[in-house]
Formats: sequence, C-alpha cells, structure tokens
Amino acid sequence: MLIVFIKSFIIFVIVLIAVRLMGKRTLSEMQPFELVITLVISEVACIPINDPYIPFYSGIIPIITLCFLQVVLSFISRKSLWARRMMSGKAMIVIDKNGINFDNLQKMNMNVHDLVETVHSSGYMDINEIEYAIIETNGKMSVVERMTDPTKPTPALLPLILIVDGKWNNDNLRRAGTTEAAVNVVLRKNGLKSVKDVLYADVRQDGMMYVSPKKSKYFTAKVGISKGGSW
Amino acid sequence: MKKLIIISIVFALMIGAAIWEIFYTTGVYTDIYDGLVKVQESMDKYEDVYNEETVALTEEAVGIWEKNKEILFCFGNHNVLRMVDEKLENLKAMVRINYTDDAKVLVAVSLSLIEAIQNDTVPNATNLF
Repeated sequence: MLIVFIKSFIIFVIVLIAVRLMGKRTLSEMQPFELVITLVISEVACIPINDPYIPFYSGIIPIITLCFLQVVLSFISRKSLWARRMMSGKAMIVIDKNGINFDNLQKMNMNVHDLVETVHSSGYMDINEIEYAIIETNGKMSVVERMTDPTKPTPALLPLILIVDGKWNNDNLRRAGTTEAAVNVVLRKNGLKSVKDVLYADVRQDGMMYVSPKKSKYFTAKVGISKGGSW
Repeated sequence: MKKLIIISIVFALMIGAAIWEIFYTTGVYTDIYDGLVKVQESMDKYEDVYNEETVALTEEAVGIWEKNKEILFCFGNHNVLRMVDEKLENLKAMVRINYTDDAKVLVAVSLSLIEAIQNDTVPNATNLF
C-alpha cells in the first residue's frame, strides 16, 4: 500500500509539472493534438500505479515524451502557419449570408443536428438570428448576430425543426399544426423542387419559416400553422 | 521559450538515461549469458555437475546476476526477472547437490530466458509491433 501511495504521489507531481509546462488551463482551450496528449498522459500515468510489477519509469517516460512533443508542437505551430493548419485544422464558416454552408459542414464531418446543438449551446435558439457562425479549431462556435432594429421589441419565439437533411420531422409537423403539403408549397414557390433539396428548415410560433437549402441561399417565408403559440 | 528549453533538457536527460540503460543492461545480460554458456560447456565435459570447475563457473555467472539484479529490477518487468532469479538460484542449488539432469535443463532454460530478455531490451520489430 505504501508503495502505491508513494508512486501515486510522485506521478501526480510529475503530471502536474507536465501540465503546467504544457501551459493550458482548461479543456475547452485545447487544440486537438493537445487534447490527445492530455488524454494519453492521464491513461499512462495510471499504469505504474496500478501494477506494482511494472518499473516506475514505464509511466514517467511516456509522460515526459508526450509533454516534450506537446511543447515542441505548440512552438512549431506558433512559428509556422502551415504546421498550425496541419495540426489544428482551420476555422470553418458554417453559417454565412447564404444560410447553412453544407459543404463546410461536410468537411467538418458535422451533421445538421450537431450544428443546431452547437448553436443552442452558444446561447442562440434561432438560427435566423445568426448572420455568420464559425466553428473554431478548438470546437467552439463564434457568432456574428444579424442586425435587428433595437427599437422594435422581438417576441420570444422557439423554432421547431421541420426538415433536416432532406427528411421530414413528422412529430414537429404535427406539433406545429402544419403539413408536408403546406410546406412543399412554400418550397416550390421559392424554387426548390422537393424536400430533398432542403438542408434545414424550421418554423416559429408566428408561422415564419427559415429554410436553408443545400445548394442555394436561405430564405424566410410564411407557412400556415394551426397551432401557433402552442409550443 | 523557457518551457521549451526546460522540457528539451529533461527530454535529453531522459534519452541519455534510456541509451545508458540499453548499454548497461545489454552488457550485464551478455556477461551472464556468456557465463552460463561456459557453465553449459563445463557440464558437457564432466559426467557429474558437482565438480570444481562447474561449481566455480556457476557461482561466477550467478554472482554477476546477484551483483546487478537490483538495478535490473528498476528497468525490467519484475515478474519476468523474478523468473530469472528463481532459475539461477535453482541452478546453483542443483549443481551443489549434483542433480545433473536438472542442472542441465535449468542452464538451458536460463540461457533462453536471458536471450529473450536481451532481445526485449533493444527496440526491434518484435517488441515495437
């Protein structure tokens, strides 16, 4: 028991020094390679603690090596833009003046649900409020809000998602009190042949829809709903 | 920059220690291996293992192990090294009580173990992948 205690203490001190040398304080500030290194360090640090028959340096050497790699990679990424792009990727615009950028979403291996979740986590319930949204290299979203008239009060509306990736959300269609046919009329009026051309569409309690097609600019339009305000 | 210098120094020290470890452990295992080969040759020369030459060579080979085993335990898997320790102690005992067949088997097994541990000390395809 005493051996495990001493090993745990020493490993803790070494990991603490390593993390301080790496220089990041919170998980959310980490770049991808830093996150990987931190996760691996936490895993290897436990090995000599859990197994008394493994030499102690089996835990220390990986920690030092990973810490060294992290500091060196951080130094290189500061000096070289190319290296930074290779290791951390680059920030991507996922919502622009044309609406949701389908190509960039695919490049980031994100689907629309991931985007909606990230938008909500950033404090925005309505995609229509967003002029530009950028996913940074550390996974956080930066938002430029759409300009609104500050003299006009904006009612609190909660969008219901009707279409994602060309597929209907039938529960929300029922909840909103509208139908596929009614929404299809709106889509055709705005130059879309079918629901398969739509990346994302939602509707608010006032009947205003936000539609972001896959290959063209977003638009807003009114659709008839029978249960306005009921959700 | 300061952090980079500090970690580079620590990393360089670690690599230096790793290289020293390879040279040291390889040297010790080579000496033990050579010693055990001499023991094996001596056993083949005489009918009984309990003779002056074989006993002396066995004591010498096991003595190298005894002298260096504490440091070797710092670098190797304890389970494996305990096996080596057990084999060499048994070998010494078998030679003393003149159990010829057991002693010959033990020396062969010890040689095989030492060779395997030596291979594992140096990075190669088998232990990397």
